[in-house]
Amino acid sequence: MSALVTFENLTKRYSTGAAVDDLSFELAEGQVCGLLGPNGAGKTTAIRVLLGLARPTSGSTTLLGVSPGAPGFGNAVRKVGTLIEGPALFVRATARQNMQIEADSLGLNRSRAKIDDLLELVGLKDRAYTPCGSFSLGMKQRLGLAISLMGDPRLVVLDEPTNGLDPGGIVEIRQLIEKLPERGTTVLVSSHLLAEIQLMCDRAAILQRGKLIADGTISDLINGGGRAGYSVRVDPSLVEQAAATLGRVGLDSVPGDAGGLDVTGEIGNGKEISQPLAQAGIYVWELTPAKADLEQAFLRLTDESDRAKKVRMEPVSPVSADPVKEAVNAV
Amino acid sequence: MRSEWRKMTVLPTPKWTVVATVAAVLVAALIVAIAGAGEDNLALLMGIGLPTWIGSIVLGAWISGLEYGQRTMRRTLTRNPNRLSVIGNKLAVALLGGAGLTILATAIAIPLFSLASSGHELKVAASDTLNVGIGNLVNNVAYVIAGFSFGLFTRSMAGGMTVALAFFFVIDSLLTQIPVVGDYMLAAVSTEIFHAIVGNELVSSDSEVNLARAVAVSVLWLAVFVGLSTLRFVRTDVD
Repeated sequence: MSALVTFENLTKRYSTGAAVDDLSFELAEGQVCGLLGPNGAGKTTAIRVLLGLARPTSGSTTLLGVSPGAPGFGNAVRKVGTLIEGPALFVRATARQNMQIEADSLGLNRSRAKIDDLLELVGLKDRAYTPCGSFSLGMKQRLGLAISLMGDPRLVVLDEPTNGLDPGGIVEIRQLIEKLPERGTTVLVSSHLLAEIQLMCDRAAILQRGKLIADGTISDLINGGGRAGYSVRVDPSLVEQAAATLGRVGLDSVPGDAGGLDVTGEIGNGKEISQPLAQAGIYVWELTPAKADLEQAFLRLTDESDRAKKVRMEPVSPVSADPVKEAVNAV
Repeated sequence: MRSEWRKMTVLPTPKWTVVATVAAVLVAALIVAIAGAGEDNLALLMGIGLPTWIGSIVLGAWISGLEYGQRTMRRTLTRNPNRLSVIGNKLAVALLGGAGLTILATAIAIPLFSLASSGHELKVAASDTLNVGIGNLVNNVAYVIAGFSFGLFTRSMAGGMTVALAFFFVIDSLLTQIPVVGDYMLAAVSTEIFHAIVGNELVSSDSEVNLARAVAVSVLWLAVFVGLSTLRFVRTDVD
């Protein structure tokens, strides 16, 4: 498979610092690849350099084998559909007019049928003659996606396509993106919605402070960074003590929801968690097997995980100073 | 260029510019009908001139500033990454729009001014109106290019319009009052070109016209405007 996108030691520096720092990464044809990272990780900047909207400080990128500014880049970029930081729409024009402007930009003749097909695909055929300024954010994103698909692009680059959408809108956009490989379109999608990336992508690259910190298939990333484990709930006042107790028997834990702990490590069954806790006088309120996911992997691979580790490493007092809590715990 | 023309025809600003220009021509014709054209032909000169100057500035600033206001420049540049070509296409469409606006205003004014002045001693000849239209057609090239350049430079339609209007109607006009330097201001050379086209008699002027110098100075001014804004556009990252 040939690489449609390459980043080669790409660095983009602003006066405030490096937005992208020595990024090297390739995307082969036919993949749906996620570009992950917290806000400010450099995802959008990397995409802007790739598309020729910003100049690299050093390093290079290629899009369909051509670098920005090189002869043939215009032809290459016209085979790429883009949706960068929200849909770029002329809000006083109708959905159809926006599509026509795109068709004209691509030099497409007799684009009417194509426009109808795409509006149908994104569920906006009935609103084709409505000015898109009156659209909801979800409808605008769907129209942006339809525009990005004009001209049957080989590659679609989507930057935060689900930004600002409600859960229903997120599912709609995800389902649309999932259909793209069926049309022979390779997809590079950046997002910080990890569950969505996990559902729609074959592969992901994780950026943090402009650097690539992990790159692989979704299952590799999950297996490498997001091990299966258990979700444990104990008396909230004893969470830190529980984490320290589990740490002593070789289990990692990070604070989870509602005073719980997410425990990972070599765990045969739940007894390996409940027993050391009971021996330490901490009684388990709930013990639920947890499935490994991209979110866990991401947290482990980024600062969030570092912060969580710090919580785990903090010293805890062995005995509660509160006699009432102690009594409750004993019960 | 086709997509730029599509924007010109489907988006509202150019339509409203046409409406406002036509309305101004109609008002001018009404004034002529009531009060006559006057010996200095002020209603004729103002009726076609001023609205199409302003309209040309608006169209120029609109087509370059539009993409920044709508945040669509990234979309435009991912369809045509050659920024010089984007500027060329936009400028060509703006010039076509400015020319179309002036031709429309003139076409409406020719019969209307003749009719409106028919009840008065001083008649407005169709040929005079045509001459004024042609003079403005040439002059408006400068207004379109200036509006376009300032819109591109400020990355804002409103910013471009404001700077262009301030430049033409305040700064440039005031500087023409300075001896020698004033002769090289854009307003002064534009007026010379206009007078050369319409003839001094129609504009009640006896000033000497050096057309070659006026054209050369105008081209220089416009080259500076376009050059600076293009440089900024080509060298800057797009959000």
